[in-house]
Amino acid sequence: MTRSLALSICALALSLPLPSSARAEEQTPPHEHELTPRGPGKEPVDSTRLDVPRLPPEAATVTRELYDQGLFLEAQLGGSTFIGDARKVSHAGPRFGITLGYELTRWLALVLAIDASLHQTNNRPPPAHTSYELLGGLGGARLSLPIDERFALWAEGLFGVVWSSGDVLRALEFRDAFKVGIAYGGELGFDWHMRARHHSLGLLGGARMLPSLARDDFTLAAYGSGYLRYVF
Amino acid sequence: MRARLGALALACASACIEEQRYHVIGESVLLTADAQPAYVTEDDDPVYRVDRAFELRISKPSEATLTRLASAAQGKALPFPRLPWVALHDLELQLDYALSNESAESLVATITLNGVNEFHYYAPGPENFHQWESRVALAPGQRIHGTVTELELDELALDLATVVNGAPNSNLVVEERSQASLDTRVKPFIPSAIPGLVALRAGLETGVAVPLTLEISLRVQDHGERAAKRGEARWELPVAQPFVPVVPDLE
Repeated sequence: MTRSLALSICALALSLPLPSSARAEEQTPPHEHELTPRGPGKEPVDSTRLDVPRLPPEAATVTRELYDQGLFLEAQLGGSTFIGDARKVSHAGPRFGITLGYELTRWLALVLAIDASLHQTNNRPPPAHTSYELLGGLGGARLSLPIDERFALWAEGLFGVVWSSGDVLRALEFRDAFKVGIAYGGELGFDWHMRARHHSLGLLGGARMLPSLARDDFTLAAYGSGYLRYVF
Repeated sequence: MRARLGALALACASACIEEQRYHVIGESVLLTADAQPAYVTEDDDPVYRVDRAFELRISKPSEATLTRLASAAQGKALPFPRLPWVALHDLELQLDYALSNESAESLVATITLNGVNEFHYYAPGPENFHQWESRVALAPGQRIHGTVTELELDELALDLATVVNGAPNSNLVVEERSQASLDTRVKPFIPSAIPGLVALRAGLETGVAVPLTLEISLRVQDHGERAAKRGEARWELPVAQPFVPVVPDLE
């Protein structure tokens, strides 16, 4: 009872008219930086704040212009197989590759690629089954076609050399396999850019003619890989 | 630290070992239906036999090198006139083979291998073991394949040097399951220098004359700079002398 009485007295005191000193302040014109009690006020820039004075009315629109452009490095991991002569004596095998490129524009880049694939032989013995590696070094150009701010398709033409050390293929009657031979072909890829300036992921598929691995007819290497790309 | 560097250098060196493979197509060992018996057993059963040598491509040593090898052999009591140009382990060999029965008959055939070094080759008679042999049963049209490993072919080279050096029982030395390097009866006859193989004689033995084909493939790992490089002229191997096995009369 005593407590409710005290709360009632406080409420009454707050509702009483202001004293004369308070009325005098109300009559002075409002300070320029103060909000007026009526109507919308203009909030000035607070020069003491370190962040933006105000949040933008809308979030920034993500465009490809926000991504880095220039020198890039791509690490590829996948598999490779053959069509033609080498397919008759080889299984498909893992493939590793590194591509170094430079984007001249958003749609054109020059690339240098090295890759390696490992293959188990499946010839009719002899010789007994064993494995061999195929090494490639190629250069070319890549054309990119952006679908939207995240996705892009690209196509690439490559020309270079291929080499297999050891005598595994030579013993299988691929007489020029131990020489450094030419290789040429192309790749198609699908690139997905992360919400980050430097990184993108992708999938690629490619094919390469290998004239030095022709025994009776021709050998074509066909491969697919996933990749991670970093633009410096 | 020095040991680690040494191990690293050794690993790099072993990674750079020259490796060559030969798949001897069209030069297989062939037994034909019109073959004549090589000999007849005590039971008057004919034995048909074919064999041929497969030579390795060896780089040619200079005359000065051969002279130096000859002078280095003085006083070593070796059964050959000079130290070998190709020593054991200079070339590590692996042989892959496939045997095809191209007839409509079932048969039993024996695949044989005998070693050839710069000085001698093993020439067993009808009653002797070959240095390596494998007896297989073949159905009509069947094809089988297998591998003779580096260790087995090293044993061929060691056994050939040992029997030539006066081991009293060649069959004991060359029998496939005996290991000359571990047998105390054989050890005293192992010479201080062991020639490596420079060729192999591969052959077939059967009791019927039918078309059989033995295909051979050789893998050569060159540890001693002895294999001729591609395009390099090969050494015309010295004419090896046949070594007929010595077997004591146990009767």
